[in-house]
Amino acid sequence: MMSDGITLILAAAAVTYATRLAGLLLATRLENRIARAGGAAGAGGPYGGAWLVLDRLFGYVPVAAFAALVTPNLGLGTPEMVPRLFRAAVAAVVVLRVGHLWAGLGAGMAIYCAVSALAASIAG
Amino acid sequence: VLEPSPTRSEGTGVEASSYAGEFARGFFAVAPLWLGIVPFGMAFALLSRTAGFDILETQAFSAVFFAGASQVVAVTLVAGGAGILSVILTVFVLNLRHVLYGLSLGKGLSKRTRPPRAALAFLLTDEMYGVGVKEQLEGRSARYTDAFLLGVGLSAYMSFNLATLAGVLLGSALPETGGLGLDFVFPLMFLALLVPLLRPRGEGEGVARRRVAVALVSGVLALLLGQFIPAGATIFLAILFATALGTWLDHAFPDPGEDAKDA
Repeated sequence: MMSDGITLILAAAAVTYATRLAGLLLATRLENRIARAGGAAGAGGPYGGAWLVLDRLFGYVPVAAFAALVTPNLGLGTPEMVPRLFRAAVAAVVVLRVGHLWAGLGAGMAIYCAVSALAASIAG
Repeated sequence: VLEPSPTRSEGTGVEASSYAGEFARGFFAVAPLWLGIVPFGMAFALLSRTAGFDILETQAFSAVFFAGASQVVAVTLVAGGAGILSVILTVFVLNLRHVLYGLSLGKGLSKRTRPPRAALAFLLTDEMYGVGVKEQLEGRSARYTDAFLLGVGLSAYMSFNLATLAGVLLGSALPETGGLGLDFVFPLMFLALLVPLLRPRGEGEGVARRRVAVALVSGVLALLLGQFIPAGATIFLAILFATALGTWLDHAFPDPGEDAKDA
């Protein structure tokens, strides 16, 4: 008989997989609808305009998603806030100047190590 | 069958080498994130064992479920005495954002992918979405996007599972990495992905302003909602509200010649 732990893991995996699969499968259908709606007048059916609105909406998903994944991790209102904001600012400036994703990431991590080492030497 | 010969991309002007080449590029594109993935996988293993899950169950979490933060939430809820149904419901709500990721990412994929979308879906995470959609926004050919995404997904999957295994086997003998701030590597990556999108090259000020507004609203909403509801659900709601705002701004303040479709 299956343990409760394995049952839980399988059920959690199933619902998570369903959310992952749904969007990827629906994307093809959505793309077809948008292509038809963007064609000749009325080609997208009675809801042709709605598909075009959805297309615009999904165009903003990257910007909205990245912002929502950053702010809760800035540690606002905690002792971690200042070092985290500092690292974030350095990473943002470097990625804009250098134009490379990993340069910003590396700069953000390096600045943390430098500040930590400085703090340790002062405390020591 | 992997295609070894270099091939030009289809109409984008950005060269895509081959299926194998794009797979390798995707695999190593995630390499800097191993810095955060490995300690996270090991920490999860310790947490899971402490919550009462055995070695097999702990590894199964990462191998079958493969959902990082949701795994932590699940074992924490179980440790707190929650029932299976409430854990499953929480996990479902936490992961609803994947529907939006799939819709956004899937539009740039070929009709027939290798492996099929059903297999790529298993590997879809925040990180895969971020790195994958960056490729699409940079105008890479859709021809080998599946290979790139497979590389990204397997790189994260293997590193996370090996780290979980290390955590399971080594247990408390593992070095303490909590003070190194490695967990911040993930938000830093998303910030580095976000910043260039706020200053789009070759597009008007109106597009940039709308994107900044969307980012601000989404970021603030995620922060505020996080005081009341679990993190994954806040991300889903923040994305929904902010993208609706962006669409409304497009409609209310149209700029001739500007197109925010590829924001």
